[in-house]
Amino acid sequence: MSRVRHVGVFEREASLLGAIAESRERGLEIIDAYSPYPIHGIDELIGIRRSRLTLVCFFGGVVGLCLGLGFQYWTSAMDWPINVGGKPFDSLPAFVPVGFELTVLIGGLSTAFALAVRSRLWPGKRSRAIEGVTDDRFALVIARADASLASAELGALLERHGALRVWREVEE
Amino acid sequence: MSISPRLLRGLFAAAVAGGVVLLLGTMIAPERVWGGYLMGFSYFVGLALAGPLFLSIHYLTRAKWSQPLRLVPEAMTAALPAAFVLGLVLLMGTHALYEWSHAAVVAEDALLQHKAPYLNLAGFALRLVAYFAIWIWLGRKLAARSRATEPPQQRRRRDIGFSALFMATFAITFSLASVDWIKSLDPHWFSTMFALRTLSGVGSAGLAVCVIVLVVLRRKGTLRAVVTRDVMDDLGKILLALSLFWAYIWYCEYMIIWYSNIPEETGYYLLRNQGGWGTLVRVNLIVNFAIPFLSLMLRAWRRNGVVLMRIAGVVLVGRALDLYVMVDPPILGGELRLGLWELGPLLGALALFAWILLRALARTPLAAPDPQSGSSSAS
Repeated sequence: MSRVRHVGVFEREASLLGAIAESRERGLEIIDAYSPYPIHGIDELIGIRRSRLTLVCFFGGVVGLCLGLGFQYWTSAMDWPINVGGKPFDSLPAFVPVGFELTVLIGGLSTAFALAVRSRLWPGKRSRAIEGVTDDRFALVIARADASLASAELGALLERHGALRVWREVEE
Repeated sequence: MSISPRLLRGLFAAAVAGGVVLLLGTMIAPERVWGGYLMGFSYFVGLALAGPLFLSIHYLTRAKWSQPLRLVPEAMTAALPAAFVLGLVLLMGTHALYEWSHAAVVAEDALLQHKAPYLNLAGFALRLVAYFAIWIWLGRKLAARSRATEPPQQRRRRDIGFSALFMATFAITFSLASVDWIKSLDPHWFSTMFALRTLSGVGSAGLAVCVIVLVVLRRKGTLRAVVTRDVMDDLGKILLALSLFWAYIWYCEYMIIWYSNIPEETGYYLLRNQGGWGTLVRVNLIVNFAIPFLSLMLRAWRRNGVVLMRIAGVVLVGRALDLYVMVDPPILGGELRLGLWELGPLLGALALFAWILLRALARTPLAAPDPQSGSSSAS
């Protein structure tokens, strides 16, 4: 079923927050909000669930740590033991820096990769950014959760809170 | 703020008991009891110094979120004069503690003779007085900043001026003090990392005290509006960062000594890697690093006052353990001993700190409007 999204572009943070508050009050679905800078606490206002990226980061880090320590143990103690300054072949203190680096590297890369995949970002993707939201404009995208509200009223709601421009988009 | 008089009496009695143990110990087991006293003294001074340290960071970073939390570091600063008195008592124990304080030992030791222009009793005493003169003076100035009533611009300038002055002098005085009091127990040892290692312990233990006091005040309702779940979350994150910092510094010192393996450095860790001490060094890494690091990763735990307080408690135990491994091996030798002579003065000093902290907090008017924020956020 196709769904109609209503987009409103605002000039001020306060107008955006006002529109968000009324949309929530009326039980509308808030698809996303755009702002040129982070607005404290907006994730809760528009009802975003907590990100699960931290889990990806944690397990990526654990994998990196095991890989780093395991590979060093294999090379220096099992496959090709070399006597370095009379130290034991299996010397944990010497393995820590590489283990740490791989924890950070694999944790970081897997997080970035998971974020790109989850947000459907890939090289060559055409972006359809709302004009001005990276500069000095705020935008709110809302939709009807059910048919209880006439479509025209959504546009009116956005305009009532001072939207400079309002338009509709039909989702495929 | 009201604090139960029974609790205060109990703490004071514990502090006095610690003093009695010290007095008895000087007659029965002087070396062991002075080792315990040095641990208690170092722990006490570290907590008292964390006060002006946190205040300076607060003013220099122009932080807003920590503004209503300043009352705790301000109260911690109140323990500095008592720390000075404890420092004067320490002067009586120098012969039991420090090898370099015996002229006969120094006369037969080329390295100690070389270090004698710095490591001598008169210098030790003079420096101790100088450190505390600077700390007490700047500590008082910093603790009074939140009650200052100057015009905003001048106020801002003096906030930053005193904080910057404290930071600059603290870096030097604290480094020297950690060398004087703790590092010179192993006078033949070289390490340029040592002061930073003691500093990291001061930071995490100081923050742990702040966390415990703030969570208790939240639960009592006094600071309910100020210490929100978001604030506890942030405090938990800083505690996590400090535990990482501690582990990082610990490893940096150990790694370089282990790798280069030259005699003038390895002696320190040879002593601490044997027998019971070796086990304790590993337990120390778990208590000070693994437990706080892993448990504070969980957001739900950082936002839960009771859990956060328990983790802070683990950090405080870890600080005592860290000091024990720093201080006691050269005094006790290869044998690990922990009894009344070690624990008595240590717990007595901590009880004295808690007593001073709670009395200072009791004097703090919580409902007073803060002139800097323009409104009273505490209720």
